[in-house]
Amino acid sequence: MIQINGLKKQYRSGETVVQALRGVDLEIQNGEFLSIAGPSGSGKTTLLNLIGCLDIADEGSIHIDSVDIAEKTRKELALLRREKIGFVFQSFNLIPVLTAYENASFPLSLLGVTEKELHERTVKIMQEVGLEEMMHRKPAELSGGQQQRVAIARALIKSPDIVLADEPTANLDSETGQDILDLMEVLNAKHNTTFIFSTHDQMVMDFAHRLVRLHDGLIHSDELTRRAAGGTKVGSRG
Amino acid sequence: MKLRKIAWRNIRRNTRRSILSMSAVAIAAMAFVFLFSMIEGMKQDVAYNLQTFVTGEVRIRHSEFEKYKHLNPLHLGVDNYTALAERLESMEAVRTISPRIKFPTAIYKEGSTYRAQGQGVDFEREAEYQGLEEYVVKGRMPRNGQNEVLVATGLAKEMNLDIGDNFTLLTQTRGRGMNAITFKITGLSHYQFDGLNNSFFQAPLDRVQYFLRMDNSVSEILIKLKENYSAEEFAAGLNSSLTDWGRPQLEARMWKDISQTYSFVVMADAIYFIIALMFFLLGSTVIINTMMMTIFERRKEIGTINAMGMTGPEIVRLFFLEAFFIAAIGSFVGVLAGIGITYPTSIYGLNFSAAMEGVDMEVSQILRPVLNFKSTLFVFLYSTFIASVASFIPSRKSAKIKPVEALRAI
Ligand SMILES: Nc1ncnc2c1ncn2[C@@H]1O[C@H](COP(=O)(O)OP(=O)(O)OP(=O)(O)O)[C@@H](O)[C@H]1O
Ligand SMILES: [Mg+2]
Repeated sequence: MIQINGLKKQYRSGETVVQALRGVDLEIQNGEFLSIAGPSGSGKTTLLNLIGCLDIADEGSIHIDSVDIAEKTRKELALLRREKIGFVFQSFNLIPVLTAYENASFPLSLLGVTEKELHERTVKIMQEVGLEEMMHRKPAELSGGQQQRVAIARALIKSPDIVLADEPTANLDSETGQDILDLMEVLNAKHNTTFIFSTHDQMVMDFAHRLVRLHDGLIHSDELTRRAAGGTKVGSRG
Repeated sequence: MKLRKIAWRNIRRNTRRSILSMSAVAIAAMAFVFLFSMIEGMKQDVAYNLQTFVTGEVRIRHSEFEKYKHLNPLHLGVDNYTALAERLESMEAVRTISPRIKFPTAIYKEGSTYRAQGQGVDFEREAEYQGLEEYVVKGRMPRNGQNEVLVATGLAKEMNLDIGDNFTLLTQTRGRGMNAITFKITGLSHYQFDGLNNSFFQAPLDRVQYFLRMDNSVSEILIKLKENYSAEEFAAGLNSSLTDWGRPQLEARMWKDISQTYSFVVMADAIYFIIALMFFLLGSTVIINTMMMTIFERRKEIGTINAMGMTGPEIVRLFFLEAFFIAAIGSFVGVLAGIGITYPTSIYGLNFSAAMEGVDMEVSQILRPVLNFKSTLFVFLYSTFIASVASFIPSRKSAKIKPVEALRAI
């Protein structure tokens, strides 16, 4: 479970100070399929980076499984990410010198599993994302959609608790984007992994089970969508 | 595990740039394989020249000789040398010996006087000790017991002398009287270093003894040892033997203690270590520079692997490995290239006669670099080490990049 309380983050560039997050409270249960939506500049990336332990908040707190991440060193945060968090990026961010197979297996290899287990799990996840035929291609030899599938395989291979995806479909055409969303949803159900993805695309928002709208660094609304099991509104602000 | 693979692939990612970095290290390594071989060649050359022509490996002289050297103290000699020579030659460690008399002299020819340095030698022994036959460029070696002389080419040219000409010299005898003797030139000699090619001649030892009224005395005995015998230990042992043999006035010294030339070359060796360090650092700057560029360009990748949980030190290691491979390959190629240029020159030699003109050191005009495994391996390890250590500086930067900043980079 992720608990966020009174989260604030500001950026300073020279004289100007930008209030990217101005007090965000949010609670995310394990296994949620949640979208953070909002216009450009509303603070989506900032929030995801903070949840992903990639950046440090100015005020407020984030607890992951009751652990306050503010108390951890840079190295401890890296190790926490290594174990618990998978990332999917808008521009895929595959390592160009590694094959699809090697990219996908990379996070698991950091956890020091045996060669055998590494191989089995990599092959399995590549099948799940439907790329078993292209395992030995380099990223440059794959389409954008295929690259993002590799990125999802890479995020999921270690069975993390949380997958954070910052605009995972923004660089894909709508059909491919839909495929990626379908895949994420299937894997969310199958592995009970929490998925948090940001978007400003209506189609993607509609696809989420819970939708959190950000506006100017504050939560504007927070509701379960029609696709969620219950489908009821859990709260709104603004 | 995988780090090595990634580092290796990253090297091949921009082949041209990697090759550029490697060649900077390679050129430095190549140059120093050659230079260290050159110094090694010089060391061996100087050692040979000193041991053969000047000091022997161990030299026996009267202990007072050095003090009165400038007065030509013929009376401070090794008396009854034949008995001592026999003793020496029967010693296990001794390979060959050379009893000699050195004397300054004046030579008269058609009213002019020429200064020259004479040396009385036993030509039979010298055939082995100096390998003298090799240096006779015209005519033949003089015979012991005959008034014959072997003249250096420089002196012959200066005095316009040739084989068959007579050669009258005037000098002070041991008793400080004046004496003259006429020799007949039977051969001309030419040595590999200039000190012996001007105003130098060699005559039979017995005739020189007679002429200088030396009886059975010589001014020094040079000794060459068999392989694996230490000159230092032998000289020390010999000194106590000399006392035992009732000759406490004689003194044995080893060659390194006598001549400074060798220590100059050894010093040059040490200086080259430092110069090599500078050049390897210079070569490393190319690696450092490319590494800094590379790290800047790969900010996004660094951010990605950091986001996936790779820690700072692991990322540093990744870049360090990359630099290390470049350094090691560069050094290896450089060492091979160094061997490639050194090997032919070690066969043909390099002619330094112009540079060596007027240099009063026992260094030959034609030097042959001597490739040796130890210094070649050393160059490889040294340049690899310096370049990798230097590349640690930019590698460390990779850990300082914050993951968010790294990810923002497009
Ligand atoms: N490193 C930074 N330095 C200065 N300002 C920043 C920095 N990062 C973000 N901001 C500012 O903080 C605010 C929130 O940015 P953020 O990237 O979180 O928005 P976003 O919702 O992800 O927008 P987008 O949809 O365009 O990706 C914006 O006004 C942005 O300009
Ligand atoms: Mg964003």
